Amino acid sequence: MSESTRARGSARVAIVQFPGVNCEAETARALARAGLEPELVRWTRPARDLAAFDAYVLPGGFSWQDRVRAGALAAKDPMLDELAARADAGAPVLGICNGAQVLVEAGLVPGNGGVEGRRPAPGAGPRDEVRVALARNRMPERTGYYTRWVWCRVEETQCVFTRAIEPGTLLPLPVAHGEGRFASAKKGRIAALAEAGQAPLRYAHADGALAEAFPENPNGSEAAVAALCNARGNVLALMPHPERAATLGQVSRAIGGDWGGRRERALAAGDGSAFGDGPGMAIFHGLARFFAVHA
Amino acid sequence: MSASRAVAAGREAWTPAEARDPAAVSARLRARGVVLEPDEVRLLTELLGRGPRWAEAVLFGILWSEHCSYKSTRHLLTRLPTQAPQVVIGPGEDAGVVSLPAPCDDLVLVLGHESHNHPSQVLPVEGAATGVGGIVRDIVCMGAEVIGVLDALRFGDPRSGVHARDVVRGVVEGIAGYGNALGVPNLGGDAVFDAGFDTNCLVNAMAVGLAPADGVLRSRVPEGPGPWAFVLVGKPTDESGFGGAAFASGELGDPGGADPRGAVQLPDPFLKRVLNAATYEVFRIVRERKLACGFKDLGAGGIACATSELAAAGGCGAVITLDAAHRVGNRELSPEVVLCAETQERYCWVVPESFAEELCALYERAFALGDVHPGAGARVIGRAVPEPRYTVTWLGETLVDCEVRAITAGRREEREAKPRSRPQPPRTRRRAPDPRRALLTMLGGLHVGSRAYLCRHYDGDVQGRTWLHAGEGDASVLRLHPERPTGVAFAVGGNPFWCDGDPELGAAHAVAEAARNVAVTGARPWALTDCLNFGHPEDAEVMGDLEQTLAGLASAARALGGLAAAGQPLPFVSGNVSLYNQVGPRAIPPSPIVMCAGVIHDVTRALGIGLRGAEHVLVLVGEPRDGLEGSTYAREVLRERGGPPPALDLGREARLEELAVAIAEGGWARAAHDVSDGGLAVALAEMLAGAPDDATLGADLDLEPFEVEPAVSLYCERPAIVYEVPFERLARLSQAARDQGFVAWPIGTVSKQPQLRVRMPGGETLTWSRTELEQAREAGLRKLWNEEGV
Amino acid sequence: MSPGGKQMAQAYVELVAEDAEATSALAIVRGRLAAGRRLTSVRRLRVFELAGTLPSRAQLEALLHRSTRFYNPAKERCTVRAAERESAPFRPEEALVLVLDRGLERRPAGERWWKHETGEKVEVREGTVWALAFEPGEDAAARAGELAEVQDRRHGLFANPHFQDWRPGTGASPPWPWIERPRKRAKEDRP
Repeated sequence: MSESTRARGSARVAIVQFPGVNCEAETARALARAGLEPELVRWTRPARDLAAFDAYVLPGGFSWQDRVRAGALAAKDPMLDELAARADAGAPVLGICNGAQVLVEAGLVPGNGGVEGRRPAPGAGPRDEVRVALARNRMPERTGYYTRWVWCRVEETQCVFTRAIEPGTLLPLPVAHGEGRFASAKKGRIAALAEAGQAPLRYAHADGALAEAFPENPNGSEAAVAALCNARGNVLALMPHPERAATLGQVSRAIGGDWGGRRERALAAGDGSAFGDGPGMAIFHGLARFFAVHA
Repeated sequence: MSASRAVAAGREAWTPAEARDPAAVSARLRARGVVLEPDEVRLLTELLGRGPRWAEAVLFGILWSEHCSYKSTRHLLTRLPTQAPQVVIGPGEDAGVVSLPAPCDDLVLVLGHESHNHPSQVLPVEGAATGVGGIVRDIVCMGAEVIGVLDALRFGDPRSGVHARDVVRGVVEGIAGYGNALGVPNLGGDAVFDAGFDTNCLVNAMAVGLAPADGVLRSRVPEGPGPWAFVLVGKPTDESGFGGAAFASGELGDPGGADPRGAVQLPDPFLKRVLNAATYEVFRIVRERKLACGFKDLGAGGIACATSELAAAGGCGAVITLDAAHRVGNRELSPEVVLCAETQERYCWVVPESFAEELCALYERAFALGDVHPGAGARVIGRAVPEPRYTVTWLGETLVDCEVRAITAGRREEREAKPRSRPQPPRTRRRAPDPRRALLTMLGGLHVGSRAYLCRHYDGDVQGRTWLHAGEGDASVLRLHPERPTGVAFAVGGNPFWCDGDPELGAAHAVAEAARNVAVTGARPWALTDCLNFGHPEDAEVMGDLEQTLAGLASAARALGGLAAAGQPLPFVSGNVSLYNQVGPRAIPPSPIVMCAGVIHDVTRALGIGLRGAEHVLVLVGEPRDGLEGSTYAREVLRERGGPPPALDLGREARLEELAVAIAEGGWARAAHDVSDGGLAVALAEMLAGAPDDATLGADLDLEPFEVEPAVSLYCERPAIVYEVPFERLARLSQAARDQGFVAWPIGTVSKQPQLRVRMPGGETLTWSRTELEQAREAGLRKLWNEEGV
Repeated sequence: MSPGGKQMAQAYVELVAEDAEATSALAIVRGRLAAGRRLTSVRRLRVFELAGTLPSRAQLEALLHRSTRFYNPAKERCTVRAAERESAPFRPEEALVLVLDRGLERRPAGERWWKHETGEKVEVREGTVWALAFEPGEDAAARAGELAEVQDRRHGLFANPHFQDWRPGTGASPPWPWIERPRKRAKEDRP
C-alpha cells in the first residue's frame, strides 16, 4: 500500500480508459459506493502515471473497436506493462468484460504460477504468455452478441475480490457480450484452472448447480467459468458486469431465488431499501476490504 | 484538387434564359443526380436573382427535398399540440427538451425521434445503424448526454422470401452493433410484421438525453458580436451518403438512379463513442467557463445544411472556407461533395474565436481522434459575419453566395388530400375454432410472440441507470440520478392494422397506447415524439390518410396531458415525417409511430408485468370485453383482415391512466399489464412468463361472469389493465377505480401451479401449461432468425 | 481443382477508404513487437472462398456485387480470383497471414442468398487476410510467421491460437484453396 493511500485513508483506483470503453461512469460510481477513490485515466496519458494508484480496473466496452480481436490492441499498450508490474507487486487488477478480454490477451490471466508453473525465459523475468482466449459465444440457434441476467456461483479461491464471500453464494449479474467463452487450445486447461481455485465465479442454476448448458451458461464457457484469476488471486478477468447490479432494485425481474425475494420485499416496503446494495457490490466491497485488511 | 474541378462547382448550373424552360433544366439536373422540380428551378432563379452556381443547385436540391424541407407537411404539423408548461424547447430544433419535477428540476430531458427507412431497406445493417447514429447526434447537439435509445420497426411478411428475413436480421444487427458499441442502453420499442411493409421496411429510432437545465445548447450562432468561429469535428468528410436526402425523398428503385447503396451512410459507433466522450468534456469546460456557443450535428446536406442553418438561426451570416475541412486523403473529392456529403459522426461548433484552438486541441490531442480514426479531427472552417449572407469558398473560388433568407425560405407544397374509401370486409361466419389451440397459434405468430430473441441482441444495462428492463414492464424505466428516486419511463405505440382500418382512430390509439403503457408502469405521461411514415405525397389518398392521422394524434394528445399538467395537452416535442414509403401503387399502411416519455417520482413504485406472489388477486380494470374489432384473434385465427380498430373513449382513457398512476403511487399492486394485442389471454400468458423461472406461479381465471362469447372474453383488445393485487389492498384499489368511473373486476388469482387456467363464459375450462405457453411464444422469432420453417 | 472435384473461386474484399483497423495494427506491430520493427505496411482483406457449381467469372462478379451478403460496393472493392493461375490483389513481396475463427468459417447467410438467387448450393467460407510488407532485405515470410500467433505482449498479434487458426501465404500466389483444407490436428500441448 502506497504512502499516499495510508495518509488519505482510502485506496485510489485507476479506471483505465482506452478509446471505445463505455462502462466507466457506472464503474466509477460503484467503486465510490464501496468507499474507494476512482479516477479515470485516459490512454493518452503517460503509462507511468498509473504507478501512483493502488488498484486498477479495466472497464467494459469495445476498446479500440475490437480491432484485430477484442482486447488485442489494448493488450499491447505500454499501460499493460505498467499494470503487469503493479500486479506483480500485488496490486489488485480487475478486468470487466472487455477489460477481461484485455487481461487475457495480455497474458495477465491466468498468468504464471499455479498449475501453469513458471518457465525460464531468455532475458529478465517470466513471459506473461497468452494461455487462454475469450472466444466467440457458442449458443444453440443464435450467434453473436447476447445479453442476459445469469446466476454466478462464488467458488472457494484466493481471489482478493471474492474471498470474503461465502463459497457457494449465488450472485445474479448481467452479461452482455459476443466473445465470453473461456477457451484454450490446451485441452483441460480451463477445467484445471477451475480445479486449482482460479475460477472465482462460475455460471450456475438458481438452485446452485453448475450450469454447463445454455442459457444459464450464456456462452458455452468451458467448465462454466465466468471469471478467471491469476494464481496469486489479485488479477481477475470477469465477464459479467457487477457495476450494473450496484443497487437491489436494478436486479432483473426475471431473477427469483434469494436475491429476487430480497428485491421484492424491498420494493413492497416502499422505504428506499431497494436503493440498497445489489449483488454486484460484493466485488467492489471485496476490493475495499483488501485495502482495509492491508492498511 | 485540380483547378478544373473547383471551377466546375463554381460554374453556373443554368442561365436565367435557360430558366424559362424550367422543365428542361429540371430534367438535365436530374440526370446529374440533383433533384429540383421545375417550379423550384424558377423559384431559385428568382431568389438568387441569377442562375445558380452548380454547388448552389446541389445545396438547394437538398434543402428543398422532402426529407429536409418537409414541404408537403410542415404546414400540417401545426395541428399537433406542442405546448405545455413542461416544454422547454418544442419541435423545430434537432430534439425536444422538457423540464423535470423536483428534485430533478436542475435537469432536463431531451427527446428525439428519427426514421431511416429507405436506407434500411437497401442496406439493413448500415441503414439501421446510421439511423441510430443520427438520432444520437441530435440529442448530443442539444448539449445532452445520451442515456437511452428505442426502436420501432415495421417489417414485411417474413414468408415472402429470404430478403425479407435478411432485412429483419440486418436491421437488428445494425441497431445492436451501433448502440452496444456506443454504450447507450436499448430501452425497447416494438416490431410489427405485415405484408404492407414488404417493399418498404420502417426503422424509427428514438433517443433520450439528460442535460443540466441551464446547460442546453442551441443550434445557432450565439448572440453578440463574436468573433465566432465555426469548428468542424469528427470523421473526415468523404463521399458517403452523398445524395442521401434526395434518396429519402423519392421512391426506392427510381430508374436511372445510381446504385442506391452509395446513398446509405457508413456508421462508426467507435469513433462516435470517442467523439461523444470528448464532446461531453467540452460541455463541462464551456459550462464551467460560461462560454457562449452553438452546436449542431451534421446530417442531411452535410456541411452546407449545418453551417447555413447555424447562421440562419442566429440571424447572421457565415463565410465558410470549405477547403479547410478535414477530409479523406487518398482520393479527390469534388467540392460539392465535400459541401453536401453525409459523412457520419460529425458535429459543428460555433465558439468564440479565442477558444477555437483549445477546442481543436482537446479533440485532436487529449482524445487523439486521429489515432482512433485516420483523418478524424477538428478544424476551423469558417466564421460568422454580421450581414445575413451565406458564402462558401473553395481555394478562393466562390461556390455559394446567397442571402441567408434564401436558405430559410423553405418550400411549401400544397398537396391534394382526399379520404380513402375503406370498404367493410365481408364478415365470413367461420366455425368457431378450437379456443385452446387459438391462443397457442397466436403466441407462435409474430404479432404477439415474445420479442426476447430480438431484444437479447441489445445491451439494456450499460450506463447503470436501467431500473425496469425492456420487456419486464409495459414501459422501460431508468433511474435518472444515483442519489434521487426520480425515474423516467418510455413506451411506443402505433398499430398499422388499426391505422389502415381507420387512420384517425388508429392514430389516437397510437398516442393512447404509448401513454397508457407509461401510466401502467406508474409514470406520468410527460411528452410525446412521433414519426409519420407514409407513402407518396403526390397520392391524394396518402395525404388524406396523413391529415386524418394528424387529427387523431392531436385529439388524443389533447386529452391525455392532465397527469403532467392539469388541463394541458400531452405535447409533441420532437418528430419527423418520412414520405415516399411506397413502391408502385400501393403505399405502406398509414404508420404514425409515437413514443411517450413519462416521469415517475419514485422508481421503487414502478410496476413490472411479471407475476409476483401466489394468492394475490387478479383484477381487470378498463373497457368492457365487448367485441373482436381489430383484434389479433380476428386477423390471425378468424382470418378476417381489415375493418376498424376497437372503439376508444378518450375521456375514459384519461381517467384510466390517472387511475393507473394512482395505483402505482399508492403501492396497491404488485404487477400491472396493459391488455392490448392479443387481449386478456395473451396479457396473462405474458404475466406468467414474466415470473422468475424458479417461482412456480400461474393464474386461475374465472371469466364466467363476463357473459360474452368465450373468444370475446379472451381476445377482445379494448383498452384495459390487469393488476396483481394483494388481497388486503383490493378494497383500496377498487375504491380508487370507482372514483374514476371504473369497476375493478376480480377475474381470478395467482396460483402455485405453473399454468394458465381459465373458466370461460359458458362453463368450459381451458388450461395451458407454462411450458407450452413459453415454447409457443419463443418460437416465432427464433425460427425466423434460423431460417426454420420457411 | 479443389478437394472433392468441386469448382471453387476466391473473392478478396478490401476497403476503399483508409482501413483504420490496418492502420492501428501497423502502428502497434511496428511500435511494440520486435518482429515488426521493419514492417512498412499492413493491409487487411476479407477473403471468401466459394465451392460448388459456379457460374462464369463475369457472372460471379455481378452476383457478388449485387448481394448485400458479401461486400458493400459503396465502400469496398472486390477482386475475384476464378482460377489458381489468376492473381489475387497482393504485391509479390507481401507476406500473408490468413486468420480463421476455428469452426466458424462458414457463412450461412451468403449461402442462403446464393441458393435463392441462382438455385445452386455453394459453400461459402470467409476469413481475414493480413498482408504484411517489410523493408527490403527482411525475410517477410519468417517475420510474418513470428507475428501471426499472439504469444505474449511482445510477440505475435493476428491470431489467438486458443480459438483461431492461421495459415501463411505469399502475395504472388495465395494458396488454392486456402480456407477449406484438410485440417491438421491443432498443437494440443502448447507451452
